Amino acid sequence: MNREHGQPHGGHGDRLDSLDRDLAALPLAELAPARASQALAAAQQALLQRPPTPAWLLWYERRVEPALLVAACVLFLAWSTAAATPPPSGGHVGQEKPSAQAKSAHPCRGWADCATPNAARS
Amino acid sequence: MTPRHPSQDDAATDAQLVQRLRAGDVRAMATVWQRYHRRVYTFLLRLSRQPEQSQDLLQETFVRLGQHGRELAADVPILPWLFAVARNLYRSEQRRQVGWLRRLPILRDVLDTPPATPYTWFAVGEEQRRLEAALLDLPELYREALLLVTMEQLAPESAAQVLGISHVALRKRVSRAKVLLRAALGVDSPGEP
Repeated sequence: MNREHGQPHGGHGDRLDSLDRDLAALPLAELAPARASQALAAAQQALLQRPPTPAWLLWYERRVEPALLVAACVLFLAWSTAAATPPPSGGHVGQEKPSAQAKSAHPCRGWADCATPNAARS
Repeated sequence: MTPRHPSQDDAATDAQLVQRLRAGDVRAMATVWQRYHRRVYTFLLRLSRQPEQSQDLLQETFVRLGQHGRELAADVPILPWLFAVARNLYRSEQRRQVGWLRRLPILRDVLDTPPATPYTWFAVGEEQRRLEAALLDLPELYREALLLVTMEQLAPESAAQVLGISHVALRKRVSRAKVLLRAALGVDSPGEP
């Protein structure tokens, strides 16, 4: 992007003529130095006021792939649904039933058998 | 804060400056300012015809650059970006002021009257004064297109983007602006006898 005079604009169909040259030759305005310093200081201050993004936030600020975000949501939903589903047959959630093997390995058939002194001795 | 002025930064490309603005480098801001503030100021001045307002809008434009510097896309063309922000700020300001002032009937006629005095602060010589005055009398719609394309020599695609119009619409506006300008100056169009 330059401001060289006499550069035609390709593709326009506009012809470079004296009017173009005269317009491009019009001088730029000057800003008073004090006003310029004030404006630049304000702009630099604005740049400084916004703290840099912490590294741990970059993944968020740099826009995570939407597909990745959707996949994460789906996985979370699947996990939470599975965790909330009750066990297939009776009992409270989270209560484990003893397996058949564990049952056969135990000498007692019920709490009452093991509670009697004879059973404990045998 | 004391603004720091660029030294070795003068050779930096716009893309490098954008990269450094994204990192929050205030020296890059100084370089961008040094490189472009006069062009943006002149654009605003010719658009608004108000020196005070142009200075305020210029500052606000660069403050916006500071506020959004870290979020700029890496490939953003910085000068068209500045022109677009400056123009949007000018439009907003104009709507705000005029909307409020137009409620006062006594001011309606004043506001509808174009400025009688030609704003020729920086023109040199009689020819340039005439051209400047004719330019400033153009309807804003055409003036801004001419300013960006013929005077600032933005690529047509960039200028169209700044103005939020199509490439074809831009070409028509520039063409119409030149016709109006030539008529105001009493100059024949090129190719005419």
